[in-house]
Amino acid sequence: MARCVLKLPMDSAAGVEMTIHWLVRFYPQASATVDGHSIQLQSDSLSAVQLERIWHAALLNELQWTAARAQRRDVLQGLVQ
Amino acid sequence: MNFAPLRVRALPQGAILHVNDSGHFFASGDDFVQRSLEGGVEPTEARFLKRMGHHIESRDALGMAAHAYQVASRLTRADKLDYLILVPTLRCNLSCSYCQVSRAPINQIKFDWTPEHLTLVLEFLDTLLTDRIKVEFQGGEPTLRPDLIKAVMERCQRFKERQFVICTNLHELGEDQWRLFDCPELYISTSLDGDLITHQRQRTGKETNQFEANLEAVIDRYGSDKVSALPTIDPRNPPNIDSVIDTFTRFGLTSIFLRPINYQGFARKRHGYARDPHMRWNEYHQNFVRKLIQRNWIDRSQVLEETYLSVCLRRIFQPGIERHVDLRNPNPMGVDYLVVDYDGTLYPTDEARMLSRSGVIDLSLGQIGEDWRGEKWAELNKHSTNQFDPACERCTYQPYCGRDLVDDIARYGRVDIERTQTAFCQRQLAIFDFVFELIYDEDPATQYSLSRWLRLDGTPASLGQRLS
Repeated sequence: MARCVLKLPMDSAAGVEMTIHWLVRFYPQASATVDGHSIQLQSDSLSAVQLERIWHAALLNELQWTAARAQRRDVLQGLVQ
Repeated sequence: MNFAPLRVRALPQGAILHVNDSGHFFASGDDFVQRSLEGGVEPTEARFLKRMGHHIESRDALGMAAHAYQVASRLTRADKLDYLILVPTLRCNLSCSYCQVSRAPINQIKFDWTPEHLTLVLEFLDTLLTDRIKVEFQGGEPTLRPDLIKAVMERCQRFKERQFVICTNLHELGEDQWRLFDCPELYISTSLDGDLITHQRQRTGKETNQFEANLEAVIDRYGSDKVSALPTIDPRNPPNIDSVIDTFTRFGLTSIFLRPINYQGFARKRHGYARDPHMRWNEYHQNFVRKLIQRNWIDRSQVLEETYLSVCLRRIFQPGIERHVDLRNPNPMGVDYLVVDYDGTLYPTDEARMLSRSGVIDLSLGQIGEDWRGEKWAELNKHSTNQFDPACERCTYQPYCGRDLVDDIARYGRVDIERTQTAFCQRQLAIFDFVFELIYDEDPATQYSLSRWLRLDGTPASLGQRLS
Protein backbone atom coordinates (compact mmCIF):
# COMPACT_ATOMS: atom_id res chain seq x y z
CA MET A 1 0.00 0.00 0.00
CA ALA A 2 1.30 3.45 -0.97
CA ARG A 3 1.08 6.26 1.52
CA CYS A 4 1.65 9.98 1.20
CA VAL A 5 1.61 12.53 4.02
CA LEU A 6 1.21 16.18 3.06
CA LYS A 7 1.16 19.36 5.06
CA LEU A 8 -2.20 21.09 4.80
CA PRO A 9 -2.38 24.70 3.66
CA MET A 10 -3.24 26.89 6.63
CA ASP A 11 -5.25 29.52 4.83
CA SER A 12 -7.96 27.41 3.17
CA ALA A 13 -9.52 25.25 5.88
CA ALA A 14 -12.95 25.08 4.26
CA GLY A 15 -11.45 24.18 0.92
CA VAL A 16 -9.48 21.36 2.50
CA GLU A 17 -12.54 19.78 4.08
CA MET A 18 -14.44 19.80 0.81
CA THR A 19 -11.39 18.66 -1.12
CA ILE A 20 -11.21 15.55 1.03
CA HIS A 21 -14.95 15.03 0.67
CA TRP A 22 -14.74 15.05 -3.14
CA LEU A 23 -11.31 13.52 -3.59
CA VAL A 24 -12.37 10.10 -2.35
CA ARG A 25 -15.41 10.25 -4.63
CA PHE A 26 -13.64 11.28 -7.80
CA TYR A 27 -10.63 9.09 -7.07
CA PRO A 28 -12.17 6.06 -5.35
CA GLN A 29 -8.80 4.24 -5.31
CA ALA A 30 -7.60 6.71 -2.65
CA SER A 31 -8.54 7.20 0.99
CA ALA A 32 -7.73 10.23 3.12
CA THR A 33 -7.43 11.02 6.83
CA VAL A 34 -6.58 14.34 8.47
CA ASP A 35 -4.25 14.47 11.43
CA GLY A 36 -3.75 17.95 12.82
CA HIS A 37 -2.17 20.06 10.11
CA SER A 38 -1.35 17.19 7.80
CA ILE A 39 -3.29 14.84 5.59
CA GLN A 40 -2.47 11.23 4.92
CA LEU A 41 -3.50 9.68 1.61
CA GLN A 42 -3.41 5.95 1.05
CA SER A 43 -4.03 3.64 -1.85
CA ASP A 44 -3.55 0.03 -2.81
CA SER A 45 -3.20 0.84 -6.49
CA LEU A 46 -1.68 4.32 -6.71
CA SER A 47 1.89 5.37 -5.95
CA ALA A 48 2.82 8.07 -3.45
CA VAL A 49 3.68 10.38 -6.35
CA GLN A 50 0.26 9.81 -7.90
CA LEU A 51 -1.45 10.45 -4.57
CA GLU A 52 0.35 13.73 -4.17
CA ARG A 53 -0.60 14.74 -7.69
CA ILE A 54 -4.23 13.83 -7.05
CA TRP A 55 -4.27 15.86 -3.85
CA HIS A 56 -2.98 19.00 -5.52
CA ALA A 57 -5.33 18.61 -8.49
CA ALA A 58 -8.31 18.03 -6.20
CA LEU A 59 -7.39 21.01 -4.02
CA LEU A 60 -7.00 23.31 -7.03
CA ASN A 61 -10.28 22.01 -8.43
CA GLU A 62 -12.09 22.82 -5.19
CA LEU A 63 -10.58 26.28 -4.85
CA GLN A 64 -11.40 27.13 -8.46
CA TRP A 65 -14.92 25.80 -8.02
CA THR A 66 -15.41 28.04 -4.98
CA ALA A 67 -14.04 31.08 -6.79
CA ALA A 68 -16.06 30.57 -9.97
CA ARG A 69 -19.27 29.18 -8.52
CA ALA A 70 -21.39 32.33 -8.48
CA GLN A 71 -20.35 33.51 -11.95
CA ARG A 72 -20.74 30.02 -13.36
CA ARG A 73 -24.31 29.90 -12.14
CA ASP A 74 -24.97 33.38 -13.51
CA VAL A 75 -23.84 32.22 -16.95
CA LEU A 76 -26.10 29.15 -16.84
CA GLN A 77 -29.09 31.02 -15.45
CA GLY A 78 -28.62 33.57 -18.23
CA LEU A 79 -28.81 30.81 -20.80
CA VAL A 80 -31.92 29.29 -19.27
CA GLN A 81 -33.72 32.64 -19.43
CA MET B 1 -14.09 39.75 -10.24
CA ASN B 2 -12.21 37.75 -12.83
CA PHE B 3 -13.68 34.46 -13.96
CA ALA B 4 -11.72 31.22 -14.41
CA PRO B 5 -14.25 28.51 -15.20
CA LEU B 6 -11.79 25.61 -15.04
CA ARG B 7 -12.02 22.17 -13.48
CA VAL B 8 -8.95 20.06 -12.78
CA ARG B 9 -8.30 16.32 -12.77
CA ALA B 10 -5.20 14.21 -12.34
CA LEU B 11 -5.23 11.68 -15.16
CA PRO B 12 -4.11 8.12 -14.45
CA GLN B 13 -1.08 8.44 -16.73
CA GLY B 14 0.36 11.50 -15.00
CA ALA B 15 -0.84 14.62 -16.80
CA ILE B 16 -3.11 17.13 -15.12
CA LEU B 17 -6.18 17.89 -17.20
CA HIS B 18 -7.85 21.32 -17.09
CA VAL B 19 -11.29 21.65 -18.68
CA ASN B 20 -13.17 24.88 -19.21
CA ASP B 21 -17.00 24.91 -18.73
CA SER B 22 -17.25 25.23 -22.50
CA GLY B 23 -15.29 21.98 -22.95
CA HIS B 24 -12.00 23.49 -24.13
CA PHE B 25 -9.15 21.77 -22.40
CA PHE B 26 -5.39 21.53 -21.95
CA ALA B 27 -2.95 19.39 -20.03
CA SER B 28 -0.28 20.66 -17.69
CA GLY B 29 2.44 19.33 -15.48
CA ASP B 30 2.51 19.33 -11.68
CA ASP B 31 4.50 22.57 -11.57
CA PHE B 32 1.69 24.60 -13.14
CA VAL B 33 -0.75 23.22 -10.55
CA GLN B 34 1.65 24.22 -7.77
CA ARG B 35 2.01 27.72 -9.15
CA SER B 36 -1.76 28.02 -9.51
CA LEU B 37 -2.26 26.97 -5.89
CA GLU B 38 0.29 29.55 -4.80
CA GLY B 39 -1.30 32.22 -7.00
CA GLY B 40 1.84 32.88 -9.01
CA VAL B 41 1.57 31.51 -12.52
CA GLU B 42 4.18 32.63 -15.05
CA PRO B 43 3.30 35.59 -17.32
CA THR B 44 3.34 33.28 -20.35
CA GLU B 45 0.90 30.96 -18.61
CA ALA B 46 -1.37 33.85 -17.66
CA ARG B 47 -1.37 35.02 -21.28
CA PHE B 48 -2.19 31.50 -22.46
CA LEU B 49 -5.12 31.21 -20.04
CA LYS B 50 -6.49 34.56 -21.17
CA ARG B 51 -6.00 33.93 -24.87
CA MET B 52 -7.75 30.56 -24.73
CA GLY B 53 -10.74 31.87 -22.77
CA HIS B 54 -9.82 30.06 -19.56
CA HIS B 55 -9.43 33.30 -17.71
CA ILE B 56 -11.88 36.12 -18.41
CA GLU B 57 -11.52 39.57 -16.93
CA SER B 58 -14.66 40.96 -15.34
CA ARG B 59 -14.74 43.99 -17.65
CA ASP B 60 -14.45 41.81 -20.73
CA ALA B 61 -18.11 41.69 -21.81
CA LEU B 62 -17.27 40.20 -25.18
CA GLY B 63 -15.21 37.46 -23.53
CA MET B 64 -18.10 36.60 -21.21
CA ALA B 65 -20.54 36.54 -24.13
CA ALA B 66 -18.22 34.27 -26.12
CA HIS B 67 -17.89 31.96 -23.14
CA ALA B 68 -21.67 31.82 -22.65
CA TYR B 69 -22.12 31.09 -26.35
CA GLN B 70 -19.69 28.19 -26.20
CA VAL B 71 -21.35 26.76 -23.11
CA ALA B 72 -24.72 27.04 -24.85
CA SER B 73 -23.40 25.26 -27.93
CA ARG B 74 -22.91 22.16 -25.78
CA LEU B 75 -26.46 22.07 -24.46
CA THR B 76 -29.08 19.85 -26.06
CA ARG B 77 -31.68 21.77 -27.96
CA ALA B 78 -34.57 19.32 -27.95
CA ASP B 79 -37.20 20.82 -30.16
CA LYS B 80 -39.98 19.10 -32.06
CA LEU B 81 -40.92 15.48 -31.54
CA ASP B 82 -39.26 13.75 -34.48
CA TYR B 83 -38.20 10.36 -33.15
CA LEU B 84 -40.58 7.58 -32.22
CA ILE B 85 -39.79 4.16 -30.82
CA LEU B 86 -42.70 1.94 -31.70
CA VAL B 87 -43.37 -1.51 -30.24
CA PRO B 88 -45.97 -3.16 -32.47
CA THR B 89 -45.62 -6.44 -30.59
CA LEU B 90 -43.97 -7.67 -27.43
CA ARG B 91 -43.94 -11.26 -28.67
CA CYS B 92 -40.64 -12.79 -29.62
CA ASN B 93 -39.45 -16.00 -31.23
CA LEU B 94 -36.36 -16.19 -28.98
CA SER B 95 -36.04 -16.37 -25.21
CA CYS B 96 -32.72 -14.77 -24.23
CA SER B 97 -32.01 -14.83 -20.49
CA TYR B 98 -31.02 -11.18 -20.45
CA CYS B 99 -33.89 -9.89 -22.55
CA GLN B 100 -34.21 -6.29 -21.44
CA VAL B 101 -37.95 -5.99 -21.97
CA SER B 102 -39.25 -9.29 -20.65
CA ARG B 103 -40.65 -10.32 -24.02
CA ALA B 104 -43.88 -12.33 -24.36
CA PRO B 105 -43.92 -15.87 -25.77
CA ILE B 106 -44.47 -16.20 -29.52
CA ASN B 107 -48.02 -17.54 -29.33
CA GLN B 108 -49.28 -15.33 -26.56
CA ILE B 109 -52.30 -13.20 -27.40
CA LYS B 110 -52.94 -9.56 -26.44
CA PHE B 111 -49.31 -8.56 -26.85
CA ASP B 112 -49.73 -6.85 -30.25
CA TRP B 113 -51.21 -3.50 -31.20
CA THR B 114 -54.93 -3.75 -31.82
CA PRO B 115 -56.39 -2.10 -34.94
CA GLU B 116 -57.43 0.76 -32.64
CA HIS B 117 -53.86 1.22 -31.45
CA LEU B 118 -52.65 1.33 -35.04
CA THR B 119 -55.23 3.94 -35.95
CA LEU B 120 -54.20 6.10 -33.01
CA VAL B 121 -50.50 5.76 -33.89
CA LEU B 122 -51.17 6.80 -37.49
CA GLU B 123 -53.27 9.75 -36.35
CA PHE B 124 -50.49 10.69 -33.95
CA LEU B 125 -48.01 10.72 -36.83
CA ASP B 126 -50.30 13.13 -38.65
CA THR B 127 -50.06 15.62 -35.78
CA LEU B 128 -46.27 15.88 -35.70
CA LEU B 129 -44.93 19.31 -36.65
CA THR B 130 -41.67 18.20 -38.18
CA ASP B 131 -40.25 17.75 -41.66
CA ARG B 132 -38.12 14.81 -40.71
CA ILE B 133 -39.01 11.67 -38.83
CA LYS B 134 -37.10 8.76 -37.41
CA VAL B 135 -39.03 5.66 -36.40
CA GLU B 136 -37.39 2.79 -34.60
CA PHE B 137 -39.35 -0.45 -34.41
CA GLN B 138 -38.61 -2.36 -31.23
CA GLY B 139 -40.10 -5.40 -29.63
CA GLY B 140 -40.42 -8.21 -28.86
CA GLU B 141 -39.55 -9.07 -32.39
CA PRO B 142 -41.19 -6.38 -34.53
CA THR B 143 -40.88 -8.33 -37.78
CA LEU B 144 -43.56 -10.69 -36.49
CA ARG B 145 -45.96 -7.91 -37.50
CA PRO B 146 -44.79 -6.63 -40.90
CA ASP B 147 -48.32 -5.39 -41.61
CA LEU B 148 -48.15 -2.88 -38.76
CA ILE B 149 -44.67 -1.72 -39.74
CA LYS B 150 -45.74 -1.26 -43.35
CA ALA B 151 -48.75 0.83 -42.33
CA VAL B 152 -46.56 3.15 -40.26
CA MET B 153 -43.95 3.51 -43.01
CA GLU B 154 -46.63 4.37 -45.56
CA ARG B 155 -48.12 7.00 -43.28
CA CYS B 156 -44.69 8.61 -42.87
CA GLN B 157 -44.41 9.39 -46.58
CA ARG B 158 -45.62 12.95 -45.95
CA PHE B 159 -42.37 13.80 -44.12
CA LYS B 160 -39.61 15.24 -46.29
CA GLU B 161 -36.95 13.11 -44.61
CA ARG B 162 -37.62 9.65 -43.24
CA GLN B 163 -35.50 7.07 -41.54
CA PHE B 164 -36.70 3.73 -40.22
CA VAL B 165 -34.81 1.27 -38.06
CA ILE B 166 -35.98 -2.25 -37.36
CA CYS B 167 -34.42 -3.84 -34.30
CA THR B 168 -34.65 -7.49 -35.20
CA ASN B 169 -33.07 -10.77 -34.20
CA LEU B 170 -33.02 -11.80 -37.91
CA HIS B 171 -34.25 -15.19 -36.82
CA GLU B 172 -36.92 -15.73 -39.45
CA LEU B 173 -37.13 -13.85 -42.70
CA GLY B 174 -40.02 -14.41 -45.09
CA GLU B 175 -41.26 -12.50 -48.13
CA ASP B 176 -43.00 -9.86 -46.03
CA GLN B 177 -39.83 -9.10 -44.07
CA TRP B 178 -37.71 -8.87 -47.23
CA ARG B 179 -40.24 -6.47 -48.77
CA LEU B 180 -39.88 -4.19 -45.75
CA PHE B 181 -36.11 -4.41 -45.82
CA ASP B 182 -36.08 -3.41 -49.49
CA CYS B 183 -37.07 0.14 -48.53
CA PRO B 184 -33.86 2.21 -48.89
CA GLU B 185 -34.88 4.39 -45.95
CA LEU B 186 -34.95 1.41 -43.64
CA TYR B 187 -31.96 0.25 -41.60
CA ILE B 188 -31.54 -3.00 -39.76
CA SER B 189 -30.24 -3.19 -36.22
CA THR B 190 -29.51 -6.63 -34.88
CA SER B 191 -27.62 -8.35 -32.10
CA LEU B 192 -24.38 -10.22 -32.58
CA ASP B 193 -22.93 -11.24 -29.26
CA GLY B 194 -19.31 -11.22 -30.22
CA ASP B 195 -18.33 -14.50 -31.75
CA LEU B 196 -20.95 -16.95 -32.96
CA ILE B 197 -20.27 -19.41 -30.13
CA THR B 198 -21.16 -16.73 -27.58
CA HIS B 199 -24.14 -15.69 -29.67
CA GLN B 200 -25.34 -19.27 -29.67
CA ARG B 201 -24.84 -19.63 -25.92
CA GLN B 202 -26.57 -16.35 -25.06
CA ARG B 203 -29.30 -16.17 -27.65
CA THR B 204 -30.09 -18.47 -30.49
CA GLY B 205 -29.11 -21.92 -29.23
CA LYS B 206 -29.19 -24.57 -31.91
CA GLU B 207 -30.56 -22.21 -34.52
CA THR B 208 -27.51 -19.95 -34.72
CA ASN B 209 -26.78 -21.12 -38.24
CA GLN B 210 -30.13 -19.72 -39.33
CA PHE B 211 -29.27 -16.31 -37.86
CA GLU B 212 -25.83 -16.38 -39.45
CA ALA B 213 -27.28 -17.25 -42.85
CA ASN B 214 -29.87 -14.48 -42.57
CA LEU B 215 -27.28 -11.90 -41.55
CA GLU B 216 -25.13 -12.93 -44.50
CA ALA B 217 -28.10 -12.77 -46.85
CA VAL B 218 -29.08 -9.29 -45.67
CA ILE B 219 -25.53 -7.98 -46.10
CA ASP B 220 -25.17 -9.65 -49.50
CA ARG B 221 -28.35 -8.04 -50.68
CA TYR B 222 -27.96 -4.52 -49.26
CA GLY B 223 -24.35 -4.09 -48.16
CA SER B 224 -23.09 -3.61 -44.63
CA ASP B 225 -24.00 0.10 -44.47
CA LYS B 226 -27.64 -0.85 -43.99
CA VAL B 227 -26.93 -3.07 -41.02
CA SER B 228 -25.66 -2.44 -37.53
CA ALA B 229 -25.02 -5.23 -35.09
CA LEU B 230 -24.64 -4.76 -31.36
CA PRO B 231 -22.97 -7.24 -29.06
CA THR B 232 -24.19 -7.69 -25.51
CA ILE B 233 -21.22 -8.72 -23.40
CA ASP B 234 -21.31 -10.61 -20.13
CA PRO B 235 -18.40 -8.98 -18.27
CA ARG B 236 -17.89 -12.11 -16.15
CA ASN B 237 -17.26 -14.19 -19.21
CA PRO B 238 -16.43 -11.93 -22.16
CA PRO B 239 -15.59 -13.39 -25.55
CA ASN B 240 -12.07 -13.25 -26.92
CA ILE B 241 -11.45 -9.78 -28.35
CA ASP B 242 -9.89 -10.90 -31.62
CA SER B 243 -12.69 -13.36 -32.26
CA VAL B 244 -15.30 -10.61 -31.78
CA ILE B 245 -13.50 -8.32 -34.21
CA ASP B 246 -12.97 -11.16 -36.69
CA THR B 247 -16.65 -12.08 -36.57
CA PHE B 248 -17.76 -8.52 -37.23
CA THR B 249 -15.28 -7.88 -39.99
CA ARG B 250 -16.20 -11.15 -41.67
CA PHE B 251 -19.66 -9.66 -42.15
CA GLY B 252 -18.19 -6.34 -43.29
CA LEU B 253 -19.27 -4.64 -40.06
CA THR B 254 -16.72 -2.08 -38.86
CA SER B 255 -18.63 -0.33 -36.06
CA ILE B 256 -18.90 -2.39 -32.90
CA PHE B 257 -21.02 -0.99 -30.08
CA LEU B 258 -19.88 -2.95 -27.05
CA ARG B 259 -22.54 -3.09 -24.36
CA PRO B 260 -22.47 -4.82 -21.00
CA ILE B 261 -25.65 -6.65 -20.03
CA ASN B 262 -28.23 -3.98 -19.29
CA TYR B 263 -29.79 -4.10 -15.81
CA GLN B 264 -33.34 -4.30 -17.16
CA GLY B 265 -36.08 -6.83 -17.80
CA PHE B 266 -35.11 -10.48 -17.41
CA ALA B 267 -31.48 -9.46 -16.95
CA ARG B 268 -32.49 -7.74 -13.74
CA LYS B 269 -33.80 -11.02 -12.34
CA ARG B 270 -31.26 -13.42 -13.78
CA HIS B 271 -28.08 -11.34 -13.98
CA GLY B 272 -28.24 -9.32 -10.76
CA TYR B 273 -24.51 -8.58 -10.81
CA ALA B 274 -25.24 -6.29 -13.76
CA ARG B 275 -26.49 -3.67 -11.27
CA ASP B 276 -23.03 -2.47 -10.44
CA PRO B 277 -20.29 -1.55 -12.86
CA HIS B 278 -17.63 -4.10 -13.16
CA MET B 279 -13.95 -3.22 -13.17
CA ARG B 280 -13.56 -6.11 -15.55
CA TRP B 281 -15.86 -4.36 -18.00
CA ASN B 282 -13.68 -1.24 -18.10
CA GLU B 283 -10.60 -3.38 -18.56
CA TYR B 284 -12.23 -5.39 -21.35
CA HIS B 285 -13.48 -2.25 -23.07
CA GLN B 286 -10.08 -0.56 -22.94
CA ASN B 287 -8.27 -3.64 -24.20
CA PHE B 288 -10.82 -3.89 -26.99
CA VAL B 289 -10.25 -0.29 -28.08
CA ARG B 290 -6.48 -0.72 -27.95
CA LYS B 291 -6.80 -3.79 -30.14
CA LEU B 292 -8.84 -1.79 -32.67
CA ILE B 293 -6.17 0.91 -32.70
CA GLN B 294 -3.52 -1.69 -33.37
CA ARG B 295 -5.50 -3.32 -36.17
CA ASN B 296 -6.42 0.01 -37.78
CA TRP B 297 -2.73 0.92 -37.88
CA ILE B 298 -1.64 -2.37 -39.39
CA ASP B 299 -4.44 -2.57 -41.96
CA ARG B 300 -5.50 0.88 -43.16
CA SER B 301 -7.92 -0.43 -45.75
CA GLN B 302 -10.77 -0.12 -43.24
CA VAL B 303 -11.45 1.72 -40.01
CA LEU B 304 -12.77 -0.29 -37.11
CA GLU B 305 -14.38 1.57 -34.24
CA GLU B 306 -16.05 0.99 -30.90
CA THR B 307 -19.14 3.09 -31.27
CA TYR B 308 -19.55 4.34 -27.72
CA LEU B 309 -15.95 5.50 -27.51
CA SER B 310 -16.48 7.42 -30.76
CA VAL B 311 -19.62 9.00 -29.28
CA CYS B 312 -17.62 10.18 -26.25
CA LEU B 313 -14.85 11.46 -28.47
CA ARG B 314 -17.29 13.47 -30.56
CA ARG B 315 -18.87 14.84 -27.39
CA ILE B 316 -15.48 16.32 -26.57
CA PHE B 317 -14.47 17.69 -29.96
CA GLN B 318 -17.68 18.25 -31.86
CA PRO B 319 -20.32 19.84 -29.63
CA GLY B 320 -23.83 19.79 -31.05
CA ILE B 321 -23.13 16.96 -33.48
CA GLU B 322 -23.79 13.96 -31.28
CA ARG B 323 -27.42 13.33 -30.20
CA HIS B 324 -26.85 10.04 -28.40
CA VAL B 325 -29.69 10.13 -25.86
CA ASP B 326 -27.82 8.44 -23.03
CA LEU B 327 -25.11 11.06 -23.19
CA ARG B 328 -26.66 14.44 -23.74
CA ASN B 329 -27.31 17.33 -21.44
CA PRO B 330 -29.93 18.25 -20.60
CA ASN B 331 -31.64 14.99 -21.46
CA PRO B 332 -35.28 16.03 -21.69
CA MET B 333 -37.88 13.31 -21.34
CA GLY B 334 -40.79 13.02 -23.76
CA VAL B 335 -39.85 16.08 -25.80
CA ASP B 336 -38.08 15.11 -29.02
CA TYR B 337 -38.61 11.38 -28.76
CA LEU B 338 -41.25 9.08 -27.33
CA VAL B 339 -41.98 5.38 -27.00
CA VAL B 340 -45.31 3.75 -27.88
CA ASP B 341 -45.61 0.30 -26.34
CA TYR B 342 -47.51 -2.74 -27.63
CA ASP B 343 -50.56 -1.72 -25.60
CA GLY B 344 -50.53 1.94 -26.64
CA THR B 345 -48.83 3.12 -23.45
CA LEU B 346 -46.45 6.05 -23.86
CA TYR B 347 -43.03 6.10 -22.20
CA PRO B 348 -40.28 8.75 -22.16
CA THR B 349 -37.57 6.19 -23.02
CA ASP B 350 -37.22 2.56 -23.95
CA GLU B 351 -35.57 1.87 -20.58
CA ALA B 352 -38.59 3.42 -18.84
CA ARG B 353 -40.75 0.92 -20.72
CA MET B 354 -38.50 -1.89 -19.47
CA LEU B 355 -38.78 -0.70 -15.87
CA SER B 356 -42.54 -0.65 -16.01
CA ARG B 357 -42.61 -4.09 -17.60
CA SER B 358 -40.37 -5.40 -14.80
CA GLY B 359 -42.77 -3.99 -12.21
CA VAL B 360 -40.11 -1.71 -10.73
CA ILE B 361 -41.78 1.64 -11.25
CA ASP B 362 -44.47 2.95 -13.56
CA LEU B 363 -42.89 5.69 -15.67
CA SER B 364 -45.64 5.62 -18.28
CA LEU B 365 -46.81 9.03 -19.41
CA GLY B 366 -50.26 8.10 -20.65
CA GLN B 367 -51.86 6.43 -23.62
CA ILE B 368 -51.49 7.07 -27.33
CA GLY B 369 -54.05 9.71 -28.28
CA GLU B 370 -53.71 11.50 -24.94
CA ASP B 371 -51.50 14.45 -23.99
CA TRP B 372 -48.53 12.94 -22.18
CA ARG B 373 -47.08 16.18 -20.84
CA GLY B 374 -48.62 15.94 -17.39
CA GLU B 375 -47.35 16.00 -13.83
CA LYS B 376 -45.10 12.94 -14.16
CA TRP B 377 -43.53 14.30 -17.34
CA ALA B 378 -42.83 17.63 -15.65
CA GLU B 379 -41.39 15.94 -12.57
CA LEU B 380 -39.02 13.81 -14.66
CA ASN B 381 -37.85 16.83 -16.61
CA LYS B 382 -36.95 18.71 -13.43
CA HIS B 383 -34.11 16.22 -13.01
CA SER B 384 -32.97 15.94 -16.59
CA THR B 385 -29.80 18.04 -16.38
CA ASN B 386 -26.34 17.61 -14.92
CA GLN B 387 -25.98 21.37 -14.41
CA PHE B 388 -26.17 22.62 -10.82
CA ASP B 389 -25.45 19.19 -9.34
CA PRO B 390 -22.68 19.57 -6.71
CA ALA B 391 -20.68 16.60 -8.02
CA CYS B 392 -21.15 17.42 -11.72
CA GLU B 393 -20.23 21.09 -11.10
CA ARG B 394 -16.85 19.90 -9.85
CA CYS B 395 -16.33 17.29 -12.52
CA THR B 396 -13.93 17.94 -15.40
CA TYR B 397 -16.10 15.86 -17.70
CA GLN B 398 -19.41 17.61 -17.07
CA PRO B 399 -19.35 19.59 -20.36
CA TYR B 400 -19.15 16.31 -22.31
CA CYS B 401 -21.29 14.14 -20.08
CA GLY B 402 -25.02 13.46 -19.92
CA ARG B 403 -27.75 12.60 -17.52
CA ASP B 404 -29.46 9.22 -17.39
CA LEU B 405 -32.03 9.51 -14.66
CA VAL B 406 -33.93 6.41 -15.78
CA ASP B 407 -30.74 4.38 -15.25
CA ASP B 408 -30.48 5.79 -11.72
CA ILE B 409 -34.09 4.80 -11.04
CA ALA B 410 -33.46 1.34 -12.48
CA ARG B 411 -30.46 0.69 -10.26
CA TYR B 412 -31.21 2.60 -7.08
CA GLY B 413 -34.92 3.39 -7.15
CA ARG B 414 -34.27 7.13 -6.89
CA VAL B 415 -32.79 10.06 -8.82
CA ASP B 416 -31.16 11.95 -5.96
CA ILE B 417 -28.38 9.53 -5.12
CA GLU B 418 -25.04 11.31 -5.08
CA ARG B 419 -23.86 11.26 -8.69
CA THR B 420 -20.37 9.94 -8.02
CA GLN B 421 -21.93 6.87 -6.42
CA THR B 422 -23.93 5.94 -9.52
CA ALA B 423 -22.91 3.34 -12.07
CA PHE B 424 -23.49 5.91 -14.80
CA CYS B 425 -21.02 8.38 -13.28
CA GLN B 426 -18.40 5.76 -12.49
CA ARG B 427 -18.55 4.37 -15.99
CA GLN B 428 -18.32 7.83 -17.56
CA LEU B 429 -15.41 8.85 -15.34
CA ALA B 430 -13.55 5.71 -16.41
CA ILE B 431 -14.31 6.11 -20.09
CA PHE B 432 -13.46 9.83 -20.24
CA ASP B 433 -10.23 9.17 -18.32
CA PHE B 434 -9.44 6.61 -20.98
CA VAL B 435 -10.38 8.90 -23.87
CA PHE B 436 -8.08 11.63 -22.54
CA GLU B 437 -5.34 9.09 -22.03
CA LEU B 438 -5.68 8.32 -25.73
CA ILE B 439 -5.84 11.99 -26.71
CA TYR B 440 -2.52 12.60 -24.97
CA ASP B 441 -0.98 9.36 -26.20
CA GLU B 442 1.77 10.31 -28.65
CA ASP B 443 1.73 6.97 -30.44
CA PRO B 444 0.93 7.74 -34.12
CA ALA B 445 -1.28 4.62 -34.26
CA THR B 446 -3.51 6.07 -31.54
CA GLN B 447 -3.68 9.50 -33.16
CA TYR B 448 -4.50 7.86 -36.49
CA SER B 449 -7.50 5.97 -35.09
CA LEU B 450 -8.79 8.92 -33.06
CA SER B 451 -8.69 11.12 -36.16
CA ARG B 452 -10.61 8.53 -38.19
CA TRP B 453 -13.21 8.14 -35.42
CA LEU B 454 -13.63 11.92 -35.47
CA ARG B 455 -14.09 11.69 -39.26
CA LEU B 456 -11.15 14.03 -39.89
CA ASP B 457 -9.52 14.03 -43.30
CA GLY B 458 -6.00 14.00 -41.93
CA THR B 459 -4.24 13.25 -38.69
CA PRO B 460 -3.26 16.37 -36.71
CA ALA B 461 0.12 16.43 -35.01
CA SER B 462 -1.71 16.53 -31.71
CA LEU B 463 -5.34 16.50 -30.65
CA GLY B 464 -4.70 17.77 -27.16
CA GLN B 465 -3.11 21.05 -26.18
CA ARG B 466 -0.33 21.09 -23.60
CA LEU B 467 0.79 23.91 -21.36
CA SER B 468 4.41 23.18 -20.69
